[in-house]
Amino acid sequence: MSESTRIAAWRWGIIFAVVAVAESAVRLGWISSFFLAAPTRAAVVLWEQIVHGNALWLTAITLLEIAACLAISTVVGVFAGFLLWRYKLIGGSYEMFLAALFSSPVILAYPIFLVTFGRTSAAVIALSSIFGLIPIMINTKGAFQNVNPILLQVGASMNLTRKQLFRHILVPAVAPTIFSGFRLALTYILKSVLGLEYVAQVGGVGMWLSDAAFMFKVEEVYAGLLGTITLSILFLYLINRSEVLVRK
Amino acid sequence: MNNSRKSRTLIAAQLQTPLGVQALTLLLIIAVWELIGRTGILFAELFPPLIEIMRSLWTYVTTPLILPHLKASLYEVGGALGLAALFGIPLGILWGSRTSWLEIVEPLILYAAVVPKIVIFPVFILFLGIDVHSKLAVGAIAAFFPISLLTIAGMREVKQVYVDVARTAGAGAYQIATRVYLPAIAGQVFTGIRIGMGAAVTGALLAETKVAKAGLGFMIVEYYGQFRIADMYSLLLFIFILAALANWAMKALFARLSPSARASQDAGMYF
Amino acid sequence: MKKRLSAVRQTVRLGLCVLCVLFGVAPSAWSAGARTKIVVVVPHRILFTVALPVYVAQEKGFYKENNIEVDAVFTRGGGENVQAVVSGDAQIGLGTGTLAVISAFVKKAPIKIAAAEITGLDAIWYVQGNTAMRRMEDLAGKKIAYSRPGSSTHMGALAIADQIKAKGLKPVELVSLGGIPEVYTAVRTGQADAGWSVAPFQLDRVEKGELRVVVKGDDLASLREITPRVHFVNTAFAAKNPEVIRGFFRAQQKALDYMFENKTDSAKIWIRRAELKFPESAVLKTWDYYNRAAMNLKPIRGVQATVEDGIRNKFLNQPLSESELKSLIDLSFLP
Repeated sequence: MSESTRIAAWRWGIIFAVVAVAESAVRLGWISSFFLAAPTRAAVVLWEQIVHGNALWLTAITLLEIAACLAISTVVGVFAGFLLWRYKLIGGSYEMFLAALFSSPVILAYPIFLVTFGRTSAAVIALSSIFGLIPIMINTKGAFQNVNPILLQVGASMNLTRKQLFRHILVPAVAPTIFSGFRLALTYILKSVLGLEYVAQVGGVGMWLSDAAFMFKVEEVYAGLLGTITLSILFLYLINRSEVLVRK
Repeated sequence: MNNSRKSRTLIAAQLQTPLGVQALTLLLIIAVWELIGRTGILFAELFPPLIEIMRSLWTYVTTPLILPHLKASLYEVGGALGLAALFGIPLGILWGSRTSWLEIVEPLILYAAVVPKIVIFPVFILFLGIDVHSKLAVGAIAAFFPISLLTIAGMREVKQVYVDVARTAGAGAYQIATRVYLPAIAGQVFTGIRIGMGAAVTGALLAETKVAKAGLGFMIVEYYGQFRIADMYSLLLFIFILAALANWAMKALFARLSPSARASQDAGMYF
Repeated sequence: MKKRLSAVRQTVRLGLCVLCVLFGVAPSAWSAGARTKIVVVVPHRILFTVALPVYVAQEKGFYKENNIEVDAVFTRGGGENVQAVVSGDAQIGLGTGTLAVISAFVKKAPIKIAAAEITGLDAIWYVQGNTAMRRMEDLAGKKIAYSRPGSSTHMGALAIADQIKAKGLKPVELVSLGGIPEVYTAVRTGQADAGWSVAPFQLDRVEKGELRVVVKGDDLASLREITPRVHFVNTAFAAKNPEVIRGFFRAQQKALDYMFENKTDSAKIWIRRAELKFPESAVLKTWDYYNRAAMNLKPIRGVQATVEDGIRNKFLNQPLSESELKSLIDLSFLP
């Protein structure tokens, strides 16, 4: 058995063990089915919701919100990160504030966003974009800061214009690190969008979880969670593949 | 004339320092805020005068009004962070000590980390009740992920050559652990704890918004429910200042404990 | 080496103690001397019909008279209330949507309805003070807000729509806008014409003339005979401690009587305990929107209509059987 097969087998084994424990806990009555759904039932309900219900439509709403957040975070974050690096005074002035904001519970301000934007996807997008913005800004600044000076010297020795230097040397040099920032931003955005949709009862998958919880449809809640985890697996896989391409 | 030019030059020089820029930014925010609030360009009740917000903040600092809520939240967050570190660091070290274990476990943790913990809060209510412990548990689970993942990242960065050299020099397992691994992973672990603190605060306070009788998160939704927007903003500011102070204190403490530790550049590779 | 081992042992013991303390589950009910302590979940610390009776009963010693001590914990409503009582950590859930309780009950939650909280809808609908709208009929063709599908405010908004339609007026548009603060902002910014609230919320603004009440719950004829919210108990606890539950509801009854006989004192208790920032005059106006009879603890009215509503809104798949209905409601604990 090859190493990768062995690792995959172990991973699936752990997943199966956790699922088996949860399944037994519910079926044997150790945990009330009011609080935890049997994984097999959750999977069946998820399938039913995909085929006959709104799961796909709600997933599309969530994906659109995530895409909007990522677009806003990227455009603003890369530009702001560049400014933080380019103008040392700005970088030095705002770095501490950004670090403080990064570790403070900004999500608790969600009521303000609800009353400002209404109970709509706009509120979710506005707040979640902030979670994506900061890692992109920090990574962009770090990326520019850590460019090997030799590369710049080589460019200068070839008499490249500032524009050429930026396009052919700086951008390829910073792209991998900035991309790492995207990855971080995307995971924060995903978590924030789902959490806000749940708490504010608006949007897509998170709202579905919230409505299902409101109606005590426990199997649907866990079906939604299963769908969420599947979504995150897909996202992380796509990001990893893209990161490999960018680094090439 | 010369004196006024000198003082203008001095002021300009002061403004071109980080402190000067920060002060200018603060003044600009205040000006824009007051402009929006007083002119009614946007819904004015969402932009109460800053003096009202500051007055409310002053009440928290000078009266015992917020104390029972602060006590409840501090217990939850402190307990959550402690518990998360208690499990996250040893498990992170264990999983990170072998490449095969790392490759098995790390993706599973990443997939689970994305799930908003507030959704599984009812399970914690079942096992731990509606008192502070269920909220502590939500905060602990939220903080566990960045702590364990960054510990794993730290273990991953330990160069095998250091371990080999130590072994060659006759170092035992305990000496390798304390003299090679610990100093090498300290930076990442400290970063994980700092980010874990943010996660614990978010997790615990969000859980308080669902069911509680005291706590800062509880009070935020109470004020929101009564549309006491100034009080809500001041409480958010209070939490923000506390979080910033705690972050700064942790950074200073870790710098003292392990001056050679390198802080993670990309502040939380995972979260 | 020995010193180090001893230090390690001490650390482990301390850690275990910390773990025990952290994971120690507080007993949800124990005897404090002669009095039994119970945990009661309340959906809001401000609500007139649930929170105030608890405050009054605590302040006036009505619970003590019945040998019980009540610890009130606040939630955001239906779901959390039910979860807390099902877990056994709370023994009584107050002021929870009848439909939410029935919905949990049919999913085998160990709970049953023990009393009515209010019969008839107590929500109010308001408009901006500078508009010409003064009565329900003026809402024809307008946007009316409710909280979320399946809620009592949704029922209320549907009843308004039906009453306006029955008069041959232009149909209304119903919009789900969430809680009181979001709805207020929506009305003030023109996203909705009429918003919902419950007294005392917004009464201070009504007093100032910024808002105007156009519909009271009592105006909705179809909902006068419906009990939209109930009090419910954990069945296992109730079976073992029926006298405790009876004592609680005796105290509740006394508190409700006191509230309507001593408005000023009750208002003062309310302002202090709920940390209300509304002026006392606005708080006292709350009594204009409630009557004592509507807050009688029994009977539970309109269960069939509630079940039908539940099926319509997909809370329930089918009507309840006779035996389910019998098990669902137990009013034997009431004075």
